[in-house]
Amino acid sequence: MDSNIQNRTLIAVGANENETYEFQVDNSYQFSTKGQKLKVEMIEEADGILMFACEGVRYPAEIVSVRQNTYEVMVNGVSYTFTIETPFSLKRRQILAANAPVKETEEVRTPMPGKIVSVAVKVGQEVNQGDPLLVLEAMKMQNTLTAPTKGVVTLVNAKEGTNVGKDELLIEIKM
Amino acid sequence: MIKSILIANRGEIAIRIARTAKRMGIKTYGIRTKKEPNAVYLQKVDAIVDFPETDGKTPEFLDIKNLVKLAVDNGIESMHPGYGYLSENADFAQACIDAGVTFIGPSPKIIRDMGDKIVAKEIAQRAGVPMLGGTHGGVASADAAIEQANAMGYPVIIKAASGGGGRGMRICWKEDEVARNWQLCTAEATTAFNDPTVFIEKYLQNPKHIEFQIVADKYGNVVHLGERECSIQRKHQKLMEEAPSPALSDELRERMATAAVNLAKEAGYESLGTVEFLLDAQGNFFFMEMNTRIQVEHPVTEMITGLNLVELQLLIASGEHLPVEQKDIKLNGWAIECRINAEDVQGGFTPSIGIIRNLRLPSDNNIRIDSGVRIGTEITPFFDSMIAKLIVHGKDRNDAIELSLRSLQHFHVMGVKTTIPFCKTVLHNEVFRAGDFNTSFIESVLGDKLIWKEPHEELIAALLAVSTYNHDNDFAGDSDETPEAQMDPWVLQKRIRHL
Repeated sequence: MDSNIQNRTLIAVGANENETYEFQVDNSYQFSTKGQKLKVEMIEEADGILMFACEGVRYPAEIVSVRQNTYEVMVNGVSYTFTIETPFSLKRRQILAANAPVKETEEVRTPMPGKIVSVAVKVGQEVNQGDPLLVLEAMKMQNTLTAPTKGVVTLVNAKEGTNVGKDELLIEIKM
Repeated sequence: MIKSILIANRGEIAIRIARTAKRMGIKTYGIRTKKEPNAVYLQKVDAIVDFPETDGKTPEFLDIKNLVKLAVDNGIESMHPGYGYLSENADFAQACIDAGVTFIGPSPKIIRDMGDKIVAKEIAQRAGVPMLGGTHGGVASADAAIEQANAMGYPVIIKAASGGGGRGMRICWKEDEVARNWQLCTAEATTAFNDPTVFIEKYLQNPKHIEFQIVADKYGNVVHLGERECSIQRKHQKLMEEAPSPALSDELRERMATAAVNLAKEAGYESLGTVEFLLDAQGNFFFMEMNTRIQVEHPVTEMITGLNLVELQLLIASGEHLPVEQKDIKLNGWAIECRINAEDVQGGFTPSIGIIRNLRLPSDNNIRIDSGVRIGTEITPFFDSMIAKLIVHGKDRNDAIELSLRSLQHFHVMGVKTTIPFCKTVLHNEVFRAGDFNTSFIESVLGDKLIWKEPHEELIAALLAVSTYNHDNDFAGDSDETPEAQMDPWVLQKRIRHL
């Protein structure tokens, strides 16, 4: 990598925005945060397990998914999602967020293929955040899908006893 | 001695059964299904039989007719049901016997008696085992339910006589809830278990869940192999078990064990079985139910007794006498089992489906891993989410906790999320370590802190994301950024203001 593109600041913004970490890129293998230099290395061990080494300590690591600048990574089996921003793009994101039109409906989709066991809501019903909406059975476990937000149910696409695929729209809630 | 065995199960328990049966010189048969034709357990059996084409309405391992036919057609002498599926189905046991196939487990009558919670309680009553609210048989009407509940005092729980596994149960806190719950429970029991009978017992809040392992031969010899502590559970799903239990004194253990043995004798029990008790904070114990099969958590008992439970099952089914007496059985050290499930704990223990892209197992003295997966195994929604069990044996409880933590540190599963970080949370928890916990542990003690993060782990994760991003992006070109992305935030701010 060219040396002239280094020496920049990158900010990792966590899923809830107070988990924010700022790093200076010294070069591809050295980053600094709060005045502390951290040498990093990605090591693929003999059996193909990826280890992320930081200052010589190895952590089993996995890049689960990359969507544009959003990275889901696993360290020690715990998953973390960070969006990587530059100081400019972070500022821009904050401005856009502050001016974005308020989302009016929230969709509830199937997180995994399964079977609808029961539906607890009807169109027109008011729900609070966390209220159970329906029970989905997958892998012999019954999972309750809950309301992501407070609002009024405007659409119920789920029928008891039917099989559903991944990411199907089941319920819409108007905020 | 039995010469051949059809394993009517899959995953780690099929492998577990095959391992012992092979060592005993028994020919093992595994069943290949369309859903996972390359499963690991098929490599661990001597011969594979294919499950026939069906309309697919009945899952393979619940299909009594075809399973029995497979055994008969292939001249296989015996059937091992494992756990789950048909392991506690009296009709299956009977169908095996009728076809001349030895069923590895107790008789259909015992399975039926224990499967009917009302009959089981009557047997427990005769054996002098304490229980919640006595035995009053089924409750046939809402009025009868209210009458019984009032006599017992609240809270009470209405249960389906044929229920189990945490299903078909409803708690009533006061009188006006009884009639409605009786109706709901009866309806649920009818659809889920095809038996509308329900009964009422006193509801014990936040008990400990303690179970005793029983082994009985066909000649009236019954021994117990001590207890297992199974209070770490979520929605009646056990997540970690240990043996012995930190909650029992020698005196209490003796009393509970005697109750369990008496119950087994009263039932005319044979084969392996587990008597489950609820234990309250004052040390009173109550009979809950008896499981007539091998349990998922059986390895912790094997660790501390040095006995092989599947071997005992096979010996008993072959008509042998129990090879051990009670005085020979010593509980040695401490064992803990962590269930490694493909679940997203951070997302509320939802199943995590995907392909196991890489797998590294710990190796150490005194650890055992029972697993049914390998690299490349697909975790599908068809089967339960347990992919492995880590069982460790320490000289005492603290030793076992430390060994579990060390082993989990070296247990890597790539491709799906697992309960490993959750198990670490429990093992690090002070309340757990003090041994003072009950079935409400996860909700009341852990709350939303379900995941153990190593020190600086979040910073490391952020750094991993940043360094990966840095490698992924060639900034010299800035080629794939949108015009908007190149806009200086100050200019952008101005434009928005002028919108």
